Amino acid sequence: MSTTWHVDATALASYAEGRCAPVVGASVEAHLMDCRECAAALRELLPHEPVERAWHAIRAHVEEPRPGFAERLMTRLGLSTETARLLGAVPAFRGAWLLGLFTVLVFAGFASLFAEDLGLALFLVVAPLVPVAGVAVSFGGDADPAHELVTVTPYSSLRLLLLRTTGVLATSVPVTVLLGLGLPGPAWLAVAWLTPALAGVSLTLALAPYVGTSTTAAVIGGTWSVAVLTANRLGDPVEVVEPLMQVLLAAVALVAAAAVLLRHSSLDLLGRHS
Amino acid sequence: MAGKDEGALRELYDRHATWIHARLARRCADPDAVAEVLQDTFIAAWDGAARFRGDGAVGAWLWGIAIRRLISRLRRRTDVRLGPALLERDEYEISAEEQVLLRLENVDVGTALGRISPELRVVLQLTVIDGLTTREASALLGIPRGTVKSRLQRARTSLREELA
Repeated sequence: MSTTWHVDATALASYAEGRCAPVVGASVEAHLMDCRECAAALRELLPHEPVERAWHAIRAHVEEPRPGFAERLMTRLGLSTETARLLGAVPAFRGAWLLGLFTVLVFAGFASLFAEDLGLALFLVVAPLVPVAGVAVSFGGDADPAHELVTVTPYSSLRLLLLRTTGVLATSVPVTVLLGLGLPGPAWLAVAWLTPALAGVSLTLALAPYVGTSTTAAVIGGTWSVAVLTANRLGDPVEVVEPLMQVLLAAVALVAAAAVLLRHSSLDLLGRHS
Repeated sequence: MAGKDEGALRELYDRHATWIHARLARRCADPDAVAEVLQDTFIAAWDGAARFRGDGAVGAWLWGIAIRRLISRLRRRTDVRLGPALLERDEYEISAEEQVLLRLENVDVGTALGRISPELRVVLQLTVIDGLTTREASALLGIPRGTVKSRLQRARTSLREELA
C-alpha cells in the first residue's frame, strides 16, 4: 500500500529506541504494517544482527526436507522424530515396494481363487516370502538408500535392526492376513504362513552378515518354494503348514533369533568400530 | 510464496522482519523469546503460505501470526517479562518533541489516549490496535477475562468523555 503520509523521522527514531509514548508507538506500528518505505527506514535505525540470526534458523527449517507421509504418520502416532525418520527410510515404506508387494499378493490371491490347489500352493509360497523379501531389501546395503544413515546412527545395532524389521512386518503382514482370509480352505490358513514367515525373516537376519542379504533371501525363497511345491505334488500344499511343520519352523525362528541377539550384543560390546 | 520459493521468503523477511521484531520487543522484554517468536512466525508463514487468502494485507497476516505466537510463548513460560508497551504503569517520559508530535498528529485522540490510565490503555492497545480477542488479551496480561472486558468498557467511556 502506498500512502503519502509517512512517520516523522523523530517519531521513528524514538520508536526504534523504544522510548516513544504509547500513542505514538501505536500510530507508528499501525503504519509500519503497510508502509514499505517506513519499514525500510526503521531497518536503518535498528541493529540487523538479531533479525539475521533468526533468519538462519528459519532457513534451516525451510531447507530441511519435508518428512514423507509414513514418517509424519509415525510421528503423529508418538514415535520420536529420529525413529520415524529411520523407519521412514526403510525401503519397505517406499511407494514402489508397497506397490510391488500389493501386486504380488493380489496375483497370488487371484490364482488361488481360480486354481484351487495349485493356487493355494502359490499363496503359501508367496505369503511368507513377502516379509523375507522386505527384510532383504531393507538391509541390502546398496539397495537401501538409508544405508549410510543407519551406519552412523548412534543406536544399538540390535535396536535398529528390530526397529526396521518391525517396519517391514507392519507393512506386509496385515495385507497378507487380509488376503488369506479371502481364500478358500480353512480360516487358519490366513495366519498359518506367519510361522514360516517368521522363520524366514529371522534366518535372513541371522545369515545375511555372512553370505549377504540377497543370497540368503534367494536361498530361503528357493528352499521354501521347493518345499511347498513338493507338498503340493505329494497331495496337499497345506501340508507344509501342518502342526508338525509349524513347530519345526518355530524352532528355526527361535534359533535364528537367538543367533541374531548374540551377534548383535557382541557387536555392541565391540562398539561397532568395524 | 505459496510456491515454496526461498527467495520469496527472504524478500518477505527483508520487508517485514524488522518491524515485527521491534513490535514484539515492545511487548516482550526477553530478547531470546522475541527472536524465537519471530522465527516461529516466519516458519508458520512458510508452512501456511497456501492458507494465506491474499484478501488481506500481508503485514496484518504476519502480525496476526506473530502476536498469537507471542501469547502462547508467554503462556508457556511465566518468567518472560512483558515489554514496555504492555506494562500497566507508565515508564515514559514524554519528551518535548513528542508532546509537539502528539499535538500535531493525534490532535484529539492522542491527548485523550494520553490521559487515560495505563491499565485501560494497555487493554485498548491489545484489543483495538493488536486485534486480539478479550480472551487472548486476558491470557497475555494474566488477568481475568472479565477484568479485560470491564477495563475496555471503562476505557471506551472515558475516551468518549474526553472526546465529547
